[in-house]
Amino acid sequence: MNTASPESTAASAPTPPRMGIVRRTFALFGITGWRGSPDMIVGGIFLLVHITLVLVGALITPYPYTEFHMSDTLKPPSLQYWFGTDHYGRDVFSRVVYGAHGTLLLSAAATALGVGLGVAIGMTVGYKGGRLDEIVMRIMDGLLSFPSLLLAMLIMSSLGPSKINVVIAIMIVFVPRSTRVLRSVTLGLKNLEFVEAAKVRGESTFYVITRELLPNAAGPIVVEVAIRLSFAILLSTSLGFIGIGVQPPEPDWGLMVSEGRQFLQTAPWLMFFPALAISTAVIGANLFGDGVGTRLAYRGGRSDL
Amino acid sequence: MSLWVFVARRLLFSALVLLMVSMVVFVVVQVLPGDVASMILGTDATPEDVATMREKLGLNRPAHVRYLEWIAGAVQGDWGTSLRLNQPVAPLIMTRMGNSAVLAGLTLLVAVPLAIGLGVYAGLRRGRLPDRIIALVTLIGTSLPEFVWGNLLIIVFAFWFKWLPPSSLMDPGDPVFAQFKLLILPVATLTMVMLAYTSRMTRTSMIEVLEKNFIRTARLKGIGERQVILRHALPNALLPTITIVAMNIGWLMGSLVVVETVFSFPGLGRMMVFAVSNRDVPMLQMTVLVTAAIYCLANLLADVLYAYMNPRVRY
Repeated sequence: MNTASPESTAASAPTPPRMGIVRRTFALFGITGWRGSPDMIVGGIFLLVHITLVLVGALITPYPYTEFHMSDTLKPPSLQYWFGTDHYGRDVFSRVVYGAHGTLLLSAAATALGVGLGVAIGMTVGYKGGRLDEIVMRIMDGLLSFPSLLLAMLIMSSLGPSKINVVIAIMIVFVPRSTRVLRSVTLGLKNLEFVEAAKVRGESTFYVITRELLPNAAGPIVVEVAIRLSFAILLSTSLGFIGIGVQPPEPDWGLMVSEGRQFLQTAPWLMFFPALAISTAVIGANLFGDGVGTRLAYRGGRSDL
Repeated sequence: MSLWVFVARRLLFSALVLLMVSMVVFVVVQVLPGDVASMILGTDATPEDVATMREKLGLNRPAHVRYLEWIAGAVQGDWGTSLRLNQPVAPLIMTRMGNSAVLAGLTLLVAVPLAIGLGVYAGLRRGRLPDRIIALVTLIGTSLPEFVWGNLLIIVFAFWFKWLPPSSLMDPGDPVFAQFKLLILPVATLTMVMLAYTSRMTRTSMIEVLEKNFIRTARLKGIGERQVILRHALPNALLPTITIVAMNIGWLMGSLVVVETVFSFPGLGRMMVFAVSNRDVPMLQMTVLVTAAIYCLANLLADVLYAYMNPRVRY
């Protein structure tokens, strides 16, 4: 985002000998000098809050997410019910926190599978080229001619609504998109000297792809994962909202917004808190992805997000 | 290569893509679920019911025969009969498509000039306060899903200020334009979501062009900055936005599904949700095919327009 920040020169400066664990982790992916990007830090914090919710969610919720409190229906936020209660008297705070478990794990799984397959297919066809590349990419073109939500709906209609099927649908939507990105990254790498050297040494195709190409594509893959994660959250909650994704009584954030709609005028908190959760998660993933992408652009990586 | 050869080539390619799309639709809807008849009827259907449904849908014939019949029918205007509504699908789709087209057209009319304006301005003020503010606003724009924007706008404009109706449920007999007020909130929602991507890409393209040598030449030969931007930078920066807008149409189609659900707007998107949740196979496969065809056409138009304005791509 801030491509013109003065830190761009600091990125090429020699790395200090001792780094903290966070910086070392980033350096592993070829991202140094990350301190210059406030976007990435804010995004990272948002993501961390959500990851924490997923991990400790069950410990901090005051009530089970399906527990009815029939004497306390549609109560506004209070000390007893932090985010208010819904029309069954269920605690909205508990449901939003459990929803993090559902929505985010589901989106993360879909992203991991979709981008993972995309990486494997994209790097293989990009490196091998020829007939295989031609055939695979034409199939991907066919899948790409569907708008993503429509393809996801089509797949959901044939598999039926369930959590696992949402993961599968989003995965299928992501594969052609990630394949295309990783294929072009591979095309940029495969004629460099170190790949030639490995080939001359007589290394196998599998070795070249996993040991030579993959580490050098790590940066673009991190960006791809972050961007796809934000799309996965949008897609899965949208499917939940239109009623063909995760089904009640699961506390999916999109589904919660949809259920809260009939009380939009009298109990807007039913819609507000899940919406806030979705938005912060997506903003976090977007900012983080943008930040990493900007960093890579400095280092001569790809700038075509 | 002349423009016409380019157009012919792209047309042929689009036809092939559409053929592939129809195969994907058919495989996903009819082959993947195993037995379509029991999928439609649910788990507690009697074997007789399933047999009747199989007969009704012609499922007793092999898949490739059914596919060819479907495509042949679709091309000749026989789009099948809806299972739930017991009506021919073609007129249903046509009415709904018209409604959605009005919504989409109005959105493009508002969002595209606005996005280009914001993007160009941000590109010119790169790294400074206006650029940062536009970046932040567009980031929030993309990060809130359509159904959150829609509901927020309903709370503010329909419930607090009471200016606009909370839903766009129309009398089916009325033309879409009869109640213009109904369209404002859906269009505003779609615009919020559309703005971000186009304006960011326009900004990037503006920044790239401003760093080109011909801009420096123009400045060095002493013409005013205003002329440099309007005559030299802008036409070149706007070329890629054609492709971006076409790509956005795919995104817009997904958004339409959600926004039409939020506002109960009688469009193609809501019909698709209806078809999915009622397992109305004939309606579903035709709706998706029509939508994909429109998307394909939009991309074709964008490519041709791009080639027309930039002869370098007609290789």
